[in-house]
Amino acid sequence: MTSAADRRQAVRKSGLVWLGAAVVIVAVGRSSNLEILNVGALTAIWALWSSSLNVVWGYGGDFSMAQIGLGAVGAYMEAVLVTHYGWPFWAALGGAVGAAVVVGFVIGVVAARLSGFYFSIMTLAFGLALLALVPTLAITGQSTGLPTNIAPGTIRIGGLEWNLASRRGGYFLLCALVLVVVLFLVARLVKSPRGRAMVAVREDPVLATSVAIDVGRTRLVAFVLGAVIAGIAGVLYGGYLGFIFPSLFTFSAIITMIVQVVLGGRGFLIGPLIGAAIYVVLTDWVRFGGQYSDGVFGLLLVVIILFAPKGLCGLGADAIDAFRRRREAGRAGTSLASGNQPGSGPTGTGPIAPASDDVGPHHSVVQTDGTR
Amino acid sequence: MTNTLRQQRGARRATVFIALVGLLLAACGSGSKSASAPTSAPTSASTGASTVSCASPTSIPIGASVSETGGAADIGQVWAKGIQLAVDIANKNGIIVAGKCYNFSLSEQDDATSPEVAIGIYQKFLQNGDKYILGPGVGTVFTAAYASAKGDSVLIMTPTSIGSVTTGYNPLLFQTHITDAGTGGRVYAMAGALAAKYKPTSVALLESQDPLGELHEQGLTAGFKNANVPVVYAQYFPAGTTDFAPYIAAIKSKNPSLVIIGYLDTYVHPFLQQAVQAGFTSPVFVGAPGSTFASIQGITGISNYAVSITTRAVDNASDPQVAAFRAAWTAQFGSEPNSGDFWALSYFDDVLMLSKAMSVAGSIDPTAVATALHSTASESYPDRTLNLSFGSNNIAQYTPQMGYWLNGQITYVNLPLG
Amino acid sequence: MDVNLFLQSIINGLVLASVYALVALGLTLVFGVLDIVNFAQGQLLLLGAYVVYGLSTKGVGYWTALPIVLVGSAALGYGLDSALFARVRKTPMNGLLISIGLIAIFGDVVQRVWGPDQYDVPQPITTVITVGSVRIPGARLLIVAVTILVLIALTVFLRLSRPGAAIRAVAQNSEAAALMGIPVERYRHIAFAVSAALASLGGVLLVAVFPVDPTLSDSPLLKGFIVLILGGAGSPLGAVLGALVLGVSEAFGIGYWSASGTQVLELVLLIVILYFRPTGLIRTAHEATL
Repeated sequence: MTSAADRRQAVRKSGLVWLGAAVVIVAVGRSSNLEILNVGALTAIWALWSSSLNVVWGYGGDFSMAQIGLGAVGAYMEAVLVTHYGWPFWAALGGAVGAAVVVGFVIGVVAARLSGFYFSIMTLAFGLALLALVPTLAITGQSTGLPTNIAPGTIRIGGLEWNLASRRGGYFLLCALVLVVVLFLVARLVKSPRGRAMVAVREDPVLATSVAIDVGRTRLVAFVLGAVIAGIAGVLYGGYLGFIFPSLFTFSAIITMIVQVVLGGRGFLIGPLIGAAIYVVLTDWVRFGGQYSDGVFGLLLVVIILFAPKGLCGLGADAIDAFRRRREAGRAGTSLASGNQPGSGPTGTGPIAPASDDVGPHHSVVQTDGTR
Repeated sequence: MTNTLRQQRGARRATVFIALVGLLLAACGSGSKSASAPTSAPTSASTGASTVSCASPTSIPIGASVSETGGAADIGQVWAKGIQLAVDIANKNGIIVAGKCYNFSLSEQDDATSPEVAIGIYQKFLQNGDKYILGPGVGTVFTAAYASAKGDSVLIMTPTSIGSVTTGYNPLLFQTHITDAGTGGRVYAMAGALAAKYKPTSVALLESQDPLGELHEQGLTAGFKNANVPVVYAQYFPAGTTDFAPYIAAIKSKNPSLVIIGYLDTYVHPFLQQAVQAGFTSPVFVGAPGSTFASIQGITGISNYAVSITTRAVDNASDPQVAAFRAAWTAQFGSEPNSGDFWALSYFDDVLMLSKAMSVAGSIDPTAVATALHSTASESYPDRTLNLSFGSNNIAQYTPQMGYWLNGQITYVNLPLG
Repeated sequence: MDVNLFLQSIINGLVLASVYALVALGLTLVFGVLDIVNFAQGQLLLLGAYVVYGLSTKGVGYWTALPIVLVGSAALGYGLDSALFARVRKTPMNGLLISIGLIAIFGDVVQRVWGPDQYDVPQPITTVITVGSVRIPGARLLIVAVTILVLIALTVFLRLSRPGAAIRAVAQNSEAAALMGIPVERYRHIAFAVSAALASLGGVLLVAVFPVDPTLSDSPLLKGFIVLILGGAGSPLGAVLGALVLGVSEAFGIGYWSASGTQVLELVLLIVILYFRPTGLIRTAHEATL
């Protein structure tokens, strides 16, 4: 149980975290180093996209492989609306989100009866089907694709102005701001009753039902939420590239996203951000290994799963807990502190990180059967 | 790191300033002699003589984004060889600009056939202050990277032919390619040439489902329609297909006399192998642009095969235009170029033209060099393999070739575009 | 003429089905016995293909290479399971994730050793059998024939041999099996080894007909998964039936209609099956009918 003092301390600490994030963003945004700005923007975009998987999987417990496809839906919707119909950017973004919601809803409903492995394959099937469909349509430019023509406009504050489409700072600011806003909302969701319901469903669906949680509705809402985030990320990714085409959104992109979430730590708010940062730095900046970077990631993933399955954030949270427990043990003599929830520390992690390694799907087919 | 860069940039600026001052003094001193007139000693690949000593040349950084890994890896690795070969030759001869000696300092990066990575590579080059960038060569990858350099004063050279990249004329973009699309394009002309030569009764088209595949089929369909040859089959196969038996069965049932498959050797070769096994050997087989005679290697049973060469056939020992390239390649890599090495040719020409253009322009400023590059004076470029002409968008074009294979005998014919 | 296309499509379908069946059998074995979704199955196929090619450049003939590859991949499978998958038994999801990591690792190794180019493997069988106007290349017949033999062998192994019974017991109820004195972990390793051998056999058979390049396994892996679901995960018979359905309809779809359309339809079929009958054609799938 947390006391009022503990709660105040937690709020102060998380406030510090958001402030720190703001400082970092402004510092990077003022940089004139093209590489740093580029890496920053791409990291923010992938962090956002991987967060969509984190919401559905890390918090919700459903391993979805449709997030890349949903991102593609968002990106293509924006590109079609702006390039073919001349919509302004923000309206097109709304259209893209709308499309992602609709498609996400459909997938969510169709996959709702399944859980575990079958749910995942269903989401993968949808993702691949969308991708097989796009090259046959003329409006999406078939295999060639189409330009995204992103024009989010310019922000003017006092004497400063940022062109949000510019690679010299503006686009990074846009992506970083969107990421911060979304993460903030996700953090609030996770602490809300709905968020707790999601975690309850993840941990034990049968028990959740017994306390009057509508499991089906909770999973669907989580999935649609993930779709919204993915849609936005897709639009930003399309804007980063300037031009989108089907083979951007294939299975290897799915793998990339999974690696990011697992590396960073699923169920932690900034897990995807850490994973994305590692991925972007290694592939686009340091280009460590160049042609070896794929294999390096595979190795990283295997090592993390074997030795730190909760990801880097999990390691961090465990370390903080161990430290705190030792400190409290020292303070209170031989009695150990109790009731510490893992991951509730000031590292900006969500308070509802998975308590055990087993957040995976169980091999039941129908979701009401929570046991093997 | 920033300090060294600043120092480097400072040193470079100083060099250019001194060069310009030198130029000015030279111009004042002897009014009649122009520093940019072509000298009588050609910087050819075979003769390495140069009249100015190049003991300590100044480096010009050249960035290159090449698909060494990823989907275009087999082509990308050939591109890399072409770039390296040309840079080595240019450096061996020395790049003389207004009496000063330079060499190219090549920084080649692997873009993994990914637009995301290519953008990062471009930002790295731009941040370094590079003024010359080669590639990416893959159309979709190039579009993204190029857009990320918009507004920067950088001379970019690429062999990609995917259109819709240049909206409006950009003097700093040097694209050497063959227009594939439209009625003035190569595939359209190819259809006409094939119709005239083989007089087929009907045609089947089968290409991979990707941008170039679609472009080809559209152009070929239009071209054959114009030549009054019916297209009885036109389908795409998904990337990564190796088992073409179902497609062969379908095509066979339509009984065409000409079959076009494309566009990579990795598709055409297994297709031809399996066609022979299926007993389907009577039609004329054609590899869509991108494939080479490597596809028909080791295949017995097919009499007629044709391809359209992008750049020029480098395995043609009797073609004087590729002689210099062949000699250089053999000297560098120890064996003669095979038919698949034609990919190296456009970058090879690009880099040598670049070094020559700098001499002609008397400057290493990208804008001045770009102007010189677009010069149509062919005597400025004695070693250029491809004869270039410039279209309305100032995009450099050259005449492609058709290669006709009849029972092992190969003939090359120019394919003039309409 | 149409009769030709019809008959030829059936033959083509059987060849496709054989490859898919080999991949799906491996997948279903590992899924049934170890609860693992092995995404790296395709890479094991690819590795088998490349090793045959590699051996051929050193002068080792196809028929000599075949057992070498099978034994080698079985050993590799045994090793992978003991070293990696055994440590995450309690969390099947982590096994899936490890297999994803293996995809990248194997793919990288293959590219580094052999490069991105396509290579022909000297063909073991070059005869072509002609039945009327239908032509069946001997090598393709080899694929179908070997697959059928493997099916028979696998069934005999699982149903009539002791180790087979042990594996089935482990799949059905590992706790009870342990109580009966069966070394559960060892049989899990064996099951993975068999699965790896099946995959690499697929690769070996493929290069009897097709040239080898890095994308050789992409399509078989995806189709293998579709077949796994279609037939019912955990059921070898389901894998075979599913492979037949998918392979033959794919050959007909391409032969008579369009490949792009067939691609989309296959995925739609997967979605429909998952929606209405996720356990697949063979109903009692997950209750381990091994």
